[in-house]
Amino acid sequence: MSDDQGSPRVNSARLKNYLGAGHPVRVTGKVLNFSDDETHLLMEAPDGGKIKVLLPPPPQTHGVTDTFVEIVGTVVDASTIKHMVCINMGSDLDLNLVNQAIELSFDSKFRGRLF
Amino acid sequence: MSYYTGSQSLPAGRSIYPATVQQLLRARQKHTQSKFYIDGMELDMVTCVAHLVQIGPYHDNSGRAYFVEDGSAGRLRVSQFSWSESNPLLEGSLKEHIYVRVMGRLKNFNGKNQLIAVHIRPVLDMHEPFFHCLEAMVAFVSRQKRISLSAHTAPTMSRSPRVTQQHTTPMQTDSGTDGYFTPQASWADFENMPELGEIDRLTLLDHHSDEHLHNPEFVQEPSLPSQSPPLSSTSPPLEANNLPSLLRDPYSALSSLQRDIIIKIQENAPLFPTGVPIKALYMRIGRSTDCDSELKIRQAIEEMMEDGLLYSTIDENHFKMKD
Repeated sequence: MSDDQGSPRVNSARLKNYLGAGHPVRVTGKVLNFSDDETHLLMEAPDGGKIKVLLPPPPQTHGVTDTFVEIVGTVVDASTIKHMVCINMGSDLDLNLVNQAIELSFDSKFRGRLF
Repeated sequence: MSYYTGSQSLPAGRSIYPATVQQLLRARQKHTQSKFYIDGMELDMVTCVAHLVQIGPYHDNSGRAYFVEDGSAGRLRVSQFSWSESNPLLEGSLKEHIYVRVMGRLKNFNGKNQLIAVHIRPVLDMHEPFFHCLEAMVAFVSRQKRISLSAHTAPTMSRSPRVTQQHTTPMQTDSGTDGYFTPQASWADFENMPELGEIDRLTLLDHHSDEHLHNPEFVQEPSLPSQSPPLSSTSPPLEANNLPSLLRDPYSALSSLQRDIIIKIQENAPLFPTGVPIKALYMRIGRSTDCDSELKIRQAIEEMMEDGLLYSTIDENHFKMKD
């Protein structure tokens, strides 16, 4: 992850705004399923959108063990990110709360001052 | 959700300010020994919930260095100096790529802000990072509102005298003689206003603005709408469709008479440095609320003095509002 730039927390609707941004984003969501070859997984973003996460090839491990995770990664396209780091977030997370916090963080009152 | 402060307790009167990494990195000091400031707000102890990205040993092995991110900005270095007081429950529980809550104070090393941790612990409830985001927003908005309200209610006075004949207002007394209280009247004229028994007759005839009641050397410019208390909840919600206002009207528990008294004292405080006289309050309030008794006003004032909202100044007939 970048040492001097942030990795803003986004939902699926805002993902496309960071295409080619040069720094990673964070997506918190619910793991829906893994692909058979475990090259990618599908997750549900806080706003209900679906995001595909490209997983690192072996011998690297993706570290996904919980139902809810936060994936830090670079945006590949409007619905795909490339995994860099995974933070396991347990088995119980209110995605509506997460989405509200995300949307509020983009409010002009806070953007650039807090986030 | 409670904050675990570890082995150190906070001195009385101190508070912990919830902040994001971006705020902590942007905080500035006036000089190396002064406190840090963010957007004009002084910081003492701060708390932050962030992703523990990297754990590193302190360069002389006297402590540990942690690097955290919360997505708002770059990476914040958190230094924890002494391992002698480490909590055995925590040792080993801090690992990379988990969320942690850190409490500590800012320091600047080589031009970059770092957090000197009083306490650092793993987050157990995964709602806590989002709770912290929202809490930081609330704290930020609250501080901004307090700053803007204190600037908004600061006394404002125009130094240009407004002395014209057109503001002359006739007042009739019992005897039928007309007296004119003109803007040229002095402060002494106001102090020598007729006693309350004659107020009704005087106020009934005054349908114009209240300018003549002021010290004619100054013109008051009310800084807030006169119909609501100065500190009413006029703050807009964070989002118009979802969240409630962050500030409640602190005077909602007062009666309408008490609210009027508070408003008039606030509005006229700049004109009466030694306290707003009760006669001025009666002249203003008696007319607008049909309250024809000094007793009711005095009783309302005494109740508010007992509640700590007002206090008397030079004597029992002059009042100021408590900050």
